[in-house]
Amino acid sequence: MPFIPLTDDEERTILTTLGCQTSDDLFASIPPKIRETAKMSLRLPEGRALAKGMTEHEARLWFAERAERNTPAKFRHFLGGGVYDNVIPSAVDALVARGEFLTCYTPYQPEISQGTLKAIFEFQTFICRLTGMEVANASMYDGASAIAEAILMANRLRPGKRSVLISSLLPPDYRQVVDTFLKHQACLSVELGFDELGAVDVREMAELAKTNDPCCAVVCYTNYFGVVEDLASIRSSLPSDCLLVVCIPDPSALSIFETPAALGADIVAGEAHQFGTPMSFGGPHVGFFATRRSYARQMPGRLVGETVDSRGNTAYALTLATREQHIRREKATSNICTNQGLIALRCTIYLSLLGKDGFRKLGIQNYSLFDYLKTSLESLGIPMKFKKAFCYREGLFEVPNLDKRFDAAVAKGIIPGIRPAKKGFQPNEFGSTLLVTVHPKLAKADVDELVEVLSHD
Amino acid sequence: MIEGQGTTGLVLKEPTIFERSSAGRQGYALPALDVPEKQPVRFVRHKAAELPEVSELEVVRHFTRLSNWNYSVDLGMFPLGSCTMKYNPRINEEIAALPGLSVIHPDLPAEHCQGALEIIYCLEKLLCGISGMDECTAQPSAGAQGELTGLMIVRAFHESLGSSRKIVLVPDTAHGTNPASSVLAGYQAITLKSSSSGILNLEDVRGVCDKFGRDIAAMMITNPNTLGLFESNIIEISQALHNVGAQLYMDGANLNAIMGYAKPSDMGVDVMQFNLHKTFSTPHGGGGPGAGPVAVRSHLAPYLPNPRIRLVEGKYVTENLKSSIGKVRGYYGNFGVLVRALAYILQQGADGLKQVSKAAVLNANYLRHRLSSHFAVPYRSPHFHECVLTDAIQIKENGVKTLAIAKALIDQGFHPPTIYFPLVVGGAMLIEPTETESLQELDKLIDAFITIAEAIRTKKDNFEHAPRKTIVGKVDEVRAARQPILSLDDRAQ
Amino acid sequence: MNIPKGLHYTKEHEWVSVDDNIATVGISDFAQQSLGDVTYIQLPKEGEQVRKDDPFGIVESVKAVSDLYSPVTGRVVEINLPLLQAPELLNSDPYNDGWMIKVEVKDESDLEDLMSSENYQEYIEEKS
Repeated sequence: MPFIPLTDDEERTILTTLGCQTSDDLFASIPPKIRETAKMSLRLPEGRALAKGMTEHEARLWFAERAERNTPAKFRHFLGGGVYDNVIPSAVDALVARGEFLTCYTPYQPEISQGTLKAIFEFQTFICRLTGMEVANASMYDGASAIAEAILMANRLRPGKRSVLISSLLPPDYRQVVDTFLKHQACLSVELGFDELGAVDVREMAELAKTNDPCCAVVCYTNYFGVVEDLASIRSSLPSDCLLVVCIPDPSALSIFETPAALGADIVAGEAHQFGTPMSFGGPHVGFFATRRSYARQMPGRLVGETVDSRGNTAYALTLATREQHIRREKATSNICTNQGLIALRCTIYLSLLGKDGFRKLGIQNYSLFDYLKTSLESLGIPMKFKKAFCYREGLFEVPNLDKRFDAAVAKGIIPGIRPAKKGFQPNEFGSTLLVTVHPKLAKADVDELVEVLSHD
Repeated sequence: MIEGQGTTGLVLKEPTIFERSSAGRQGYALPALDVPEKQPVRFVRHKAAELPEVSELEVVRHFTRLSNWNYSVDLGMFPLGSCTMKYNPRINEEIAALPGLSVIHPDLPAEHCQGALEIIYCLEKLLCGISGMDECTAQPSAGAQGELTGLMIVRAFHESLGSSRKIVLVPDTAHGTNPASSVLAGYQAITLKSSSSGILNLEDVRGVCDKFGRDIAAMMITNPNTLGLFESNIIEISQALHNVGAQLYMDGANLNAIMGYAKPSDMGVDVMQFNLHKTFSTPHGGGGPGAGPVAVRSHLAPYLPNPRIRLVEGKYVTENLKSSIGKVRGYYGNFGVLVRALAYILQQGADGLKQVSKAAVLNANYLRHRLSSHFAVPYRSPHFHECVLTDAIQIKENGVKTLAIAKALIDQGFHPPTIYFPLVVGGAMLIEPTETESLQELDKLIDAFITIAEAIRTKKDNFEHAPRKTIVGKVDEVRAARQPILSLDDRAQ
Repeated sequence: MNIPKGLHYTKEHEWVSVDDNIATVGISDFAQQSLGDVTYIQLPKEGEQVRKDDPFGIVESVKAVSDLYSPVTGRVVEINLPLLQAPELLNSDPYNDGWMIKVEVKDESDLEDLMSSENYQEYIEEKS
């Protein structure tokens, strides 16, 4: 067996050393009643029995067949809403495939984990520089978990507050995760509506903040309708002791739009997979989490700090670990036991390759291509749902005969976007709307084709 | 200095990537824009983010140098107890990178992602087959998230019966995540002491069940436990819990020891999580991504996270359950990790998985047996996939503690075992060799341990300055915590 | 092990000395040795109430963290600000520069169940 080196001879050697007759002797502390029925019978839904395993090549073919049952690679798509396609520099895959990164453990032994530790320190630096915040952690499971953890942290920072104000324009998956996590908290969640610009209704929010005694307000930058929220007015309309938690499902926006820190954010959390990691059907992705220095000790997740070694060299170590579950147990800031090391590394390598100028270009190109798409659609009578919405790279369009035109696009090898009505938004208001997103794999010709197929029956 | 297989090679120093920056340099060219360039006029970022400006080669060199500073399974043995650091087959990486599996958006309509849904469905079914449980969700991102998911399911179940319970029982040998997850699920964690033989005493469990009765929501048990011992009263424990309406949660972190020898369902387990990055060989990646699927008996199935994947008339469809606890993370979980774990299970088959547990247990017992004449062994009975040693002899002989022994092992060319865990054993070294290490490698590790023990016994070395062969010496963790420098921009302050 | 006479000690290893209704509270030499290098201390604010046997703060080393339990009930009238900036004082001088809080004691009977230096000495010998 390729992955198990033990030979029959060696098994006998070990048994002799242990003074056992058979290996079953080692399992004698399992009650016989349990052992009797322990035999596994494994079978695939297709009917194939799995007593013996597949060979490597058989497994390769089995998966290749499944891969082909997904959308063929020649399809183009305009999907986004929190998960974004991107081009991935070849060097990212080459570097993370190195066994030294792929097969190492959480860096508890700093002397033999300096590579991982330094890379995480760089990741933390990247996140600080993108968001403008002072401290960032070593990453979280995904954007949805990051924002849920951000709300729990706001709760810890403002004990005794009655509520959390949450924008209704979080990506629906994020919102559902937040609801699950808040279920067991005393805090009430109060939903923030949106205005005719497709942005948080700031006036209504100010009223809700007065009556609900919130610990924080959670808003998206950019929101699920692709709109860049006016963080400065949101901040100034909130009571001073109400934290501003900014959720960033699309951090490429930070290349051209002002940092949440400069606009008064207290906690910034989001999703960074588009920096070097494929969409992978939703995971593994990587959440990021940043805040003010004074709140560092209330942060969830791992942190890497720079220090020195016994020889006077710069060295890195996990630090402020006493917040974590393996030390604090039931008093930990979170039950999270890991970060998303390898995906954070992909992000670090991607941003290093893209560089200062490339990062800005990424934002400008997304913005420009969306502007072209929007202008083209509007000129053919497909308006934005919120006519004056200020969008970055995706937006909500009113498409007549949506079902029919959606199918027509698919027939031409284009997935034209996400239908919010299928993601939990009210069908009577959003039934004919389509969320259309651009990404670096798309060019003018793709947009022209989409516009063509969406603009008539 | 004591010689081992560890030696020093040419290892290069390297600053941070930011310090390699030269204005105007570029490491990657994005596809060209072929529409007119536009600039936003509102909310404009005033100062560009200070990303490094480096060439592709500089990036490749930087991260290659960093990689050389890591110890990894590919480099040598990683006997880290409770972490199951087994070999990660490379075919699984190749499969997960297939464009048809990696370049797919999770909001694709179901008819466009049948292959992906089938993969998740297959994995969930096979995990049920391995554990004997009835239904499974692959959504949780990691073991700890699996624990929380499982407890939320338990809570929803009790609430559906109109019962509000307060307590989760956690043995003192448990992973720290267990009590932390209990609190996050809105419960109070109460610690149960293990007996002197290292497992739970049935009378203690019965006593606690009598005392707290219908306030107990669940007990979280790890079986075999973190001492590598099987909780042989498990059936009676589950009965005692069920008698007061409580649920038995099994932390599946140590499943690698019992596949084909014991099914959690037959132990009376109601809900459990799997750690795919442990038992099912997906790479640890320096701390994630992992995956922590949760399996339940049928009475808990209505509360599993949404969406559920079903096979209806030959098509895979998604369905939302009304009574579900909701979503615990975005979309379907760490799909790329699920692909790798399924690839591993398909290649092992049922027979191979049983062979995995057999070899893992043989290896651990061989290590324990050979080392027991040099190190104190607090529990004598046969162990499962991991065993625990302590520093009691070495402290007595020359005042050398577990931490120093661990650091000395590094110079011998091995990753240290898990140290100072489980908490119930003073100076613990928890060793888990896994099934993928050969007898020859085990002998090398044993030799390394014995060399260290001999050096301590003969007072030749107390390893105060170990490790000596690593890129950095002992790291000043006190300074890191007192004056935290958490990003490059903190240095100046 | 330094266990100064004249102080009162708790089972959680805090010490307290009372002078004119003002109790000064810190942790013992034994406690600081068991923790190792202290990296962080969290104390209540001036004016806050503390209650006997309830936690009033935490003390952290690299790999351990402990709650601090108040030996007395009352209002915090002063905290050791320099200690927050230099937690190492707790290791070098737990009984003088390493004091933590001063509390206005309401009821001196709070001290009755505390240990004398001799009793505390016996207590830690038994434990170790």
